[in-house]
Amino acid sequence: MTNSSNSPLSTEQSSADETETTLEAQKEISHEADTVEPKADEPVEEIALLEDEPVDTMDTQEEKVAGKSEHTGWWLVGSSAIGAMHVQKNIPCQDSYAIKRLDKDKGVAVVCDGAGSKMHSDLGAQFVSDKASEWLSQVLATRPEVFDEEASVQQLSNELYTYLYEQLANYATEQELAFDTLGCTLIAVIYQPHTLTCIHIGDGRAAYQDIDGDWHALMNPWNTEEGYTIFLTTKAVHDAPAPRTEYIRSRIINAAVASFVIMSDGCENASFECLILDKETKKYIQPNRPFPQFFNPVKATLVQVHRHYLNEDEEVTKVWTKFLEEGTPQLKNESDDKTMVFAINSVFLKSDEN
Amino acid sequence: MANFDFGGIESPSNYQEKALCVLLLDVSGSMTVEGRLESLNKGLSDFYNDIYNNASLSDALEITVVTFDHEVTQVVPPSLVEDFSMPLLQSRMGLTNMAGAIEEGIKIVDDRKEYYRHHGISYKRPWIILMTDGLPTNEEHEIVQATQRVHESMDANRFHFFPIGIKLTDEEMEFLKELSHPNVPPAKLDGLRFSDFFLWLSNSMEKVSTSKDGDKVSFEKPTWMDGFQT
Repeated sequence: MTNSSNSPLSTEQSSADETETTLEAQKEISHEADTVEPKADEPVEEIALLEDEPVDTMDTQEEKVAGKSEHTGWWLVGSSAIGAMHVQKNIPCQDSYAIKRLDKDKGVAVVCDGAGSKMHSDLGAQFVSDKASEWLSQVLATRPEVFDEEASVQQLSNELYTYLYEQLANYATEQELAFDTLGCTLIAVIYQPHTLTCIHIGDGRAAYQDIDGDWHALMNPWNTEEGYTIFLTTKAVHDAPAPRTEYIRSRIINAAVASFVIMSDGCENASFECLILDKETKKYIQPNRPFPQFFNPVKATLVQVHRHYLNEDEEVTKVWTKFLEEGTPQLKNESDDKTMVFAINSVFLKSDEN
Repeated sequence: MANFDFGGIESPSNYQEKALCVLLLDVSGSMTVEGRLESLNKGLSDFYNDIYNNASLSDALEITVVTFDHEVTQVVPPSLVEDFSMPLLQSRMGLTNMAGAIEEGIKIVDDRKEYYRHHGISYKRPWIILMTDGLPTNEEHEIVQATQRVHESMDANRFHFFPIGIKLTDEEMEFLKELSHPNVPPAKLDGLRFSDFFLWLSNSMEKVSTSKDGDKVSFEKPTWMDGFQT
């Protein structure tokens, strides 16, 4: 007896219910307006090297020599931990992230999650996270005002998508890989003193903490009713008319922000209320709510870590990697890759967090 | 690296995404010969225990058991293993209303999906497994209709339909092939290796259950299948 290539006996079957024609609309984005205090100077760490921009490390060295660092402004750490199922299947980690600090109080953070079924999506995720963070940091350096308004952000998001799509297509050709094998999602945050902008394609989660200490979802992951998401390579996205706002989502927080976190969906069950039983209505709801009992204690420990290691990013990253691998039972038992970038605005640390 | 205690962290109580497996099982008269029904019952018991002892799968996998002879009976509605005991199937020496069983299986899937949607529960694409040791005794138009339903539903990715032949002749397997969607052709059980099949099924359901959106799932080698070359 012969089996077709799609038989469950011989190869692979898609587990998701895929309704390619109807795609559920996401909620509309909202804005918040507020003012922000300027930040004190901070030793420069990683910088996106822009043309003709000197890398200034004088303050860092002087302060270290003096035995004291101001270490103010934004503290960011990111890491990717391979999932148990990927290890079992001998697949590389298909998540990637990038952080580009322009100076102490502005920069870019990106997380990409390679499509699980796609053979080279690890390469796609790495490529996209590098290119996206580079491109966005250039825009941030040269025309930061575009991040302040909805219309310009939507336009910019579409430009970013078009740029990434073309770059990825060229990469696929150069590497002799099929384009769709590089598929990945994208979450990007551009942080500035007075504005936080989030752009995303696909799923994953993102949260921010306001200056009162409350956590809020920064975006709604893109999913159909039956759990189907989209990637940079998805045809429906490319075929949509510009600026493709049905698929490329953006949101601006025009306010001072105490923290933000972006993650691939491997971390969501440990940190977000994704699907819970509403005890009053006895129905299951998808609140997309960052879980404060996760984020607050994690932030408190990260503050200690940053204060201990100051500018030694590698050491902070090691601690963070270990946390993502096994820091909670849910993280430890997670079969998918886990990536999380956790950003803390040290200006708004309360006295009991210092 | 200094030690930092990430203490005081709680986990949100997220509900496990569901996977549904519908078993359509032939209990017609022919299943009483050669110990077929006994082997099937043993396989079902092993399947149940395998899932029961798997912490994550027992939280995620809902099972439905439908038996068919000349009538179609839902003996277990969609349930987690903790909510039912696997019944011991018996035969009334009846005929083979396969078309009715298929229609019932499809209805169960549709109803359960509606339930999931209504309650905001996310779910994987359900599986319908048909196990039969003979040709149906339905009218031809009933078989045509059932075949059409299977094909249309599979084209629309509404569920996976996987028929298994028990002690069928090549000609009878040809019938199952007509009934199946080309993407998932039927398989013939090697002898009465029900337990091996059900072990493969529970492993496969675990892979489906833990797969991510858009993933393709790789199944284990079906060593329970007649003619499988290792």
